[in-house]
Amino acid sequence: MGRINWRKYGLLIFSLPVVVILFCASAFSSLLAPYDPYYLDVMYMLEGPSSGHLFGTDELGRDVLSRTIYASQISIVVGLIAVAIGMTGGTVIGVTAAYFGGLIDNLLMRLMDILFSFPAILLAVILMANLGTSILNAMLAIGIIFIPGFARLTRAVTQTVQRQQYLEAAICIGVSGPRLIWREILPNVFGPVVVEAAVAFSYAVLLESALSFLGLGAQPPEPSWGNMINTGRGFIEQAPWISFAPGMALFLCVFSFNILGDGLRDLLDPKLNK
Amino acid sequence: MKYPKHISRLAVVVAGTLALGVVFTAGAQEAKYGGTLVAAFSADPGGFDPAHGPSGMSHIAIEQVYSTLLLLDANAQPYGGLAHNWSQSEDGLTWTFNLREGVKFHNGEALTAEDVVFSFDRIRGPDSGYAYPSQVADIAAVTAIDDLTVEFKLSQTTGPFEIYMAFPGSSIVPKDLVESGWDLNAKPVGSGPFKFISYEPRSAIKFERNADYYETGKPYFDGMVYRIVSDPTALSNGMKSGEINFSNEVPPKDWEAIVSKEGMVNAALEGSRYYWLIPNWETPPLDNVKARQAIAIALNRAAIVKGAFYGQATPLLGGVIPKWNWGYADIEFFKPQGDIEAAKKLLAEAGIEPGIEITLNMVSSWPPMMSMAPIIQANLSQIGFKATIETMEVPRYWDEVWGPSKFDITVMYWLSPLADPDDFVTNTYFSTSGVNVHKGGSKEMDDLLLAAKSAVTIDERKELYRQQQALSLETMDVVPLVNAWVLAAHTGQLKNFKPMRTGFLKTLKDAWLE
Amino acid sequence: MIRLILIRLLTFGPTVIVASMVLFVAVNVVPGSASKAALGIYATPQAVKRFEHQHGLDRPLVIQYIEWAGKALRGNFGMSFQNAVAVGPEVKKRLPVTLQLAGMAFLIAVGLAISLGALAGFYHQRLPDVCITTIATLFGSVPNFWLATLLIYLFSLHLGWLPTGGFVPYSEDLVANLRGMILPSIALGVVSSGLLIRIMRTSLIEVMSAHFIETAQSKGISNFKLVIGHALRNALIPFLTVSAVEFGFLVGGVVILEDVFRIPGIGSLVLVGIINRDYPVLLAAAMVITMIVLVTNLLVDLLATIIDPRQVRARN
Repeated sequence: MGRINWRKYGLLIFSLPVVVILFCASAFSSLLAPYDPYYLDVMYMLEGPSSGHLFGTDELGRDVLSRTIYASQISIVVGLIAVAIGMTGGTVIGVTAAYFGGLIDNLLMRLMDILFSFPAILLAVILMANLGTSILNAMLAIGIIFIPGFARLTRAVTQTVQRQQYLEAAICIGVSGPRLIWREILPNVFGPVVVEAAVAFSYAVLLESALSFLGLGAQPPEPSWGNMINTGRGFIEQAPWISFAPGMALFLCVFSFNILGDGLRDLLDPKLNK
Repeated sequence: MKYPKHISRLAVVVAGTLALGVVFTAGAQEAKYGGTLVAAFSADPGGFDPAHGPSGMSHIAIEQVYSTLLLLDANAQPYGGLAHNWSQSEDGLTWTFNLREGVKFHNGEALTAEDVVFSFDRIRGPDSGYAYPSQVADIAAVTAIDDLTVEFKLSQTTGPFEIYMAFPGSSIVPKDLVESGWDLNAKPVGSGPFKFISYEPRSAIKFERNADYYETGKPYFDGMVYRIVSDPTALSNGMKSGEINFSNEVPPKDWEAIVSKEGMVNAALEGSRYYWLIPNWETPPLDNVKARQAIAIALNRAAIVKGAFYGQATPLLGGVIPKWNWGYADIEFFKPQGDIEAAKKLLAEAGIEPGIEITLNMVSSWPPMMSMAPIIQANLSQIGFKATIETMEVPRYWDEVWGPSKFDITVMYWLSPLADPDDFVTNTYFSTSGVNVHKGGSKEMDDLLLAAKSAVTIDERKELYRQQQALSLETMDVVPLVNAWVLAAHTGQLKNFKPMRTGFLKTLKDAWLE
Repeated sequence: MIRLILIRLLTFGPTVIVASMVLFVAVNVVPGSASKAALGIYATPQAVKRFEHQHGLDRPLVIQYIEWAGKALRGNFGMSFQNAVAVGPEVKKRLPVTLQLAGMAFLIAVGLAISLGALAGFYHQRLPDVCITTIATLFGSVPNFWLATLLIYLFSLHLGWLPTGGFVPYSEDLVANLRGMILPSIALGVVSSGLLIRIMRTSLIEVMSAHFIETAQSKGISNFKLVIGHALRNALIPFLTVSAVEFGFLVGGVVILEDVFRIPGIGSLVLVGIINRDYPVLLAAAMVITMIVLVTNLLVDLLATIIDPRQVRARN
């Protein structure tokens, strides 16, 4: 125990197993869930936790635990794709802005600033009403919302790299354009972006469940943590367990990815020990 | 001291009378004046002008502020409103109404036949924007014979005419005021039991008693507040805490808890808000009547009543016209639990192989739809249909599913604000109706509907509707599901309130608070 | 410094305009036509046409925007599609409610941040720091709507101490007003405090590692007094400027929590606008929320520039 560098790896050690479990839960839901999440029997509705149903049944007699496990699929998938979209779009814009500088930089960053000043949930809600409520559109909407954040980050990192000596050296020997970006800039952007991605992932999961909670994300009967919490709210007096399990799962997911982000930061760039 | 005999006999008589008097007054209900009724509703009104609409909540407010020629009692039977007397000509094409004397609008102006003519011409005009043109389409002319007599000339006999005259849209508005440019939509002025005070969007509509109401002595409340509470849980909490003393929109999931509270009165009754499953006739094999009948027979309506309505609905085992209505055709076509075997047999007869994939398009904003979707899906799979549930919220649904009829199967409900069988069935079954999204119907059905509407006597109409109901089950245009109850509950302090089948609240003028 | 202030002020106007354009386009491209939402499913095609003409929905988007923007500048946000009631007065009534909620939540968040963050920074790398940092992450990871549900369950339904929601204006009944606002403020504030605690902690650590602290220490002033006296004050400024960003998240959280607690503020108005496809309402509410964030950012930026222009220049 003593030989482990806790300062560098501590958080990762705690968060990675949970993250792995979450990914497994979504990938192998059918194996882990005791019941079919859609199977209903109104005769057993609103029953509390029991040996047969660890987290009780919901308003249609479906097993809450199974639905919670299956709901992880939506959260994980939306998180991954939304982050991918944000990361890609943001990196393209950020690196371009920093690379070209001047007017392009100014315009792009002004636009990013304006987009950034919209509260995320506001944009998300309007975009979802715009695009139509489906999981695919949730990925798109949240991805778009992440672009300004990633753009700012990659631009800042690129600017730092640009000031470094070795970049000037590379330009001297004739490396330019795409090769410069690919060889020198992007590898340095990688670290901070990965850290940001982990945090963005947890925020994506939060946003998706907030959207489903408001009825603008995954629609019932498809189970999502957000819409389960919302339904559970209507039954909070008779059957508080309906909200409890998905809420706990959501909390755990977001928390572990936030810790993962911290852990990655400790690993890749300890100076940023925030 | 001994009293003289006649005095002691007198004393006994007096004592006896007093005792009897106490007994009688204790039993009799003495109307009490005063108090403010706080009612809760879930939606905002769209405006307060009877010529506009449609908006159910608008009508709930309009019926308190305005008066109509006729009114409906709790059993949906018409009685005199502004008209104390009315008659129909022999050929059924002319109706004459005799107005009460001395009726005043809230601004003090007298209500005369002129106002009646004006009100109806207003909604009959081609550009009126009136949302119920079918009710006034048969009126050829409205004329004021004298100050207190109005004559309606119809282009064809119309059975439900009296019902239409009791409809909030047929409210009488003040001609001079409207012509002077007054915006009734924002500030309604009528001759109803209550005067409009204010409307705060998403908050409340306030009314005060009309002391000059033509029904002397009524209404009894000092005023009413219609609170708008869009969150169903909040509505339930308000009723449980006593803040709200009346609602006819109690959420089904909280009904038991609310009604079992001390002092709460259960005023639930069956109205006409039925749900039907709509198979798209343009999607094979749903174009085959046997397929539609099979689906209809297979559905477990009892499960839907329990799962989607918590028991507060009546399964429709035959046609959609409910039991309480005179048009009810006592035909039992479905079993409450459904009959999977019989359904499978029908499909086999029609040569339809199991394994067909169809989509069930449901509106996600309405909890009963969401609850019944999986139940329907399960029933469908039992007879060999692989149904996937696709959900979306209301505005998208109207644009993408309902409008262009892009669905295989969907579910909708019809809330009839009229108590006439014509309103229950025409919109659904008439081939050119705007609501005929399933692209069904037949000439036979159309003819029956038209005949039943225009027949003159109730008996004639009753027989025609019986035929129509039987036909509707033979052709299975749409699949009747359940009739959800009007869940009305109120504090025990509200006395003499008779809930209306239509879900309207005109009868509040006859009720008082202890 | 004056130059920086002027630049910031000058860019505010165009920022607001561009933001309004983005919102206008986003809202008006919403499918699910407003007319059906307002008139109901059984509306006749003529009624729909009348409605669209009445509200100018049949004109090109650019013209619609110019008209809307012109009116909005004068405070006229048009008429709601649903109720034929002017939107402006309703927005005006709801704004103070949202400001009160956001303000109370922000106070809770900042209070937690300064106290816990300072403690963590002071005991840097020791047990209290680790504990507090973990707690901060926990706070920041809780979904605010779930926390709200738990709070309602515990404090309203189980213990019966507080109402499940609803709002009473403080002019009417201050106690009832506060009772209704406590739970939503806690739900919002606690979640926001997650990030703020860590920012405060970092800020304090940075300040404490600065030279002048060592100087003061060598003079013998006790550590604790040092922190309260010097370090905290210096740490507060960068903390406040960065925390202004979090205010944007907090205002966003208002949209959800006003719905959960049935608080009649601008946040719940956004949702009302979306559910009813009531474009004028949605646009007005979204614009006001965005303005709150933009104005707050502007004020904080100006404040920061006045106090320490070097930091602002460095950030840009």
